[in-house]
Amino acid sequence: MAELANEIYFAGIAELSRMLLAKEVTAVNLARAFGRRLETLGPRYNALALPLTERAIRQAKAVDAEIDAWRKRGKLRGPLVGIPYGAKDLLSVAGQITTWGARPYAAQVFDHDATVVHKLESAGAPLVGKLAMVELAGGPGYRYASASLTGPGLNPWDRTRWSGGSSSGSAIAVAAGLAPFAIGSETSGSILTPAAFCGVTALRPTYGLVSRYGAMPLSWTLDKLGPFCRSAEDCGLVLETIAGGDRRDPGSAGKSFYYTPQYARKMSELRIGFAPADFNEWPDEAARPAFQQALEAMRGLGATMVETRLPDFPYGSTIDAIISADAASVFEPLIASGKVDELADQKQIAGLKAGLEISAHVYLKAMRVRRLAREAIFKLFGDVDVLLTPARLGTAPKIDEPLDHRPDRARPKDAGFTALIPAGNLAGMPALALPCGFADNLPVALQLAGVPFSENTLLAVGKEFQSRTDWHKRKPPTG
Amino acid sequence: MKPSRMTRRQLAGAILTTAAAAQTPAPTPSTPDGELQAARERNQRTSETLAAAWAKVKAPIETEPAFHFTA
Repeated sequence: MAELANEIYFAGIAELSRMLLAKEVTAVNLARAFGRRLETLGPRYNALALPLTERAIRQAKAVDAEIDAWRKRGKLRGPLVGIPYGAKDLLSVAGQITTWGARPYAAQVFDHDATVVHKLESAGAPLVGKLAMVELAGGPGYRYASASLTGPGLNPWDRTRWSGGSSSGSAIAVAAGLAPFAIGSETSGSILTPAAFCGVTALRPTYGLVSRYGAMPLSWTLDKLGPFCRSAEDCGLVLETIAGGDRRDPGSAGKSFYYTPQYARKMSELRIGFAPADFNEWPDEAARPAFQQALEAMRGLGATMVETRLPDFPYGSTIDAIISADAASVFEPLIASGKVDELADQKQIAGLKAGLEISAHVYLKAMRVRRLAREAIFKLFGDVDVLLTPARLGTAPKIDEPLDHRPDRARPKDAGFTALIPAGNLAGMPALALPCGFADNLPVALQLAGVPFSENTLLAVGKEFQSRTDWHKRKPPTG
Repeated sequence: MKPSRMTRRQLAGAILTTAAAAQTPAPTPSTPDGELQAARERNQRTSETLAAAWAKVKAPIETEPAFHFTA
């Protein structure tokens, strides 16, 4: 079992679990193989922040002993026993460097594990490495993909393209078969964007469902941690493990999550809200066929499709004000010390400095607009169960392209759900990114969003979609 | 807290206009001072967009910020 077949690097959690139980592979084999692969191929994509292979092998040895004991019962203690994973480098691991993707923190070491890391270790999942990220999870905004201590995240489908961010390494690791799953974070788009650009399934959980203790703060009322996986089903398994109340996170909702696909509502009972303009007017021209086919595939699930649109609010400005002020407060010591100038991206440096000047009344106005926006969005869910829109309107940008450059073309009259990323984050809603096709040989994805704590509904729709399509099983050419 | 009295109709159109104005791309600054000035201008546009939205929504005075604290 020294060498693993290439297919294993792209196997889902259930398949790896079955192999462990059947003694076709050991946890040590998996930890060593994924760890070495991450060490070897991770730098090729600028995906690796810190290898932890030896640590993972030590964890896996204990897990193998446990698997031997449980094998007699014909099952394992839990779904993640022996399954290796990677964690975004904003999560602390006791005694290990945690850089937050930023040069000023290149030597930072914490003495405690993040709650998510602790929960996964308790679940028997060996951590094979810390994964690269955009510096400070993007802070108040950045202009270039190179805004990272480890360089720009390179897309496994085409290394001249960006991986998306800020959870760059998490998406790359899953897409390139460097880890069966990974943990990332989202404040506004940092899970959905890299998942869409790299063609992996990922879940942004409801605000407060997953503890952020031990994670870098960026914006206290917006930050969330979530999984990148090979399928919606795997996202459910990982979320069940990492969710739960935590007194050390003031934003914790105090709720657990149980993945219950067996109790999912029938597709025929669900109403999916969408805006036609999101599929036939807003996407980049090359991506429209893929999105339109994905919409038809979604129709084929049997749910009732309901045309609707997002209430009109300045979602972008609202979230910008909140993140800018919060980030400036979080990183005020960095700004005051002058070390902020060591960051890679000039726009981020300036945004942090200017964020200190945002007045209380602007911040409070943003938070009051947010209250109204959230109420208006939740009213939509009187008519629908799930909202559906492209996760991003096109494919990954070129690596050196300014990210704040917008194509100079006419904007459709119907705004549809193009602002669903900031809107969904402002409202604390869960969202699922589902690979749904290709344009110019690069992946594109759908976004499903629902009311807080509706993860099981989103995952059920995602699982059904993935039972009828194989976009989530595609492997990049270099894999 | 009473439910807010705004309607979708009240919000339609006018807010979009200000939001669209805020999305107008600015030229890329070439110096740190230029970047800082551009960031300040973005914040100013954000403030104006929020003020315009607030004025048009006619939100009830008791509308609380969307903070969430647990005891």
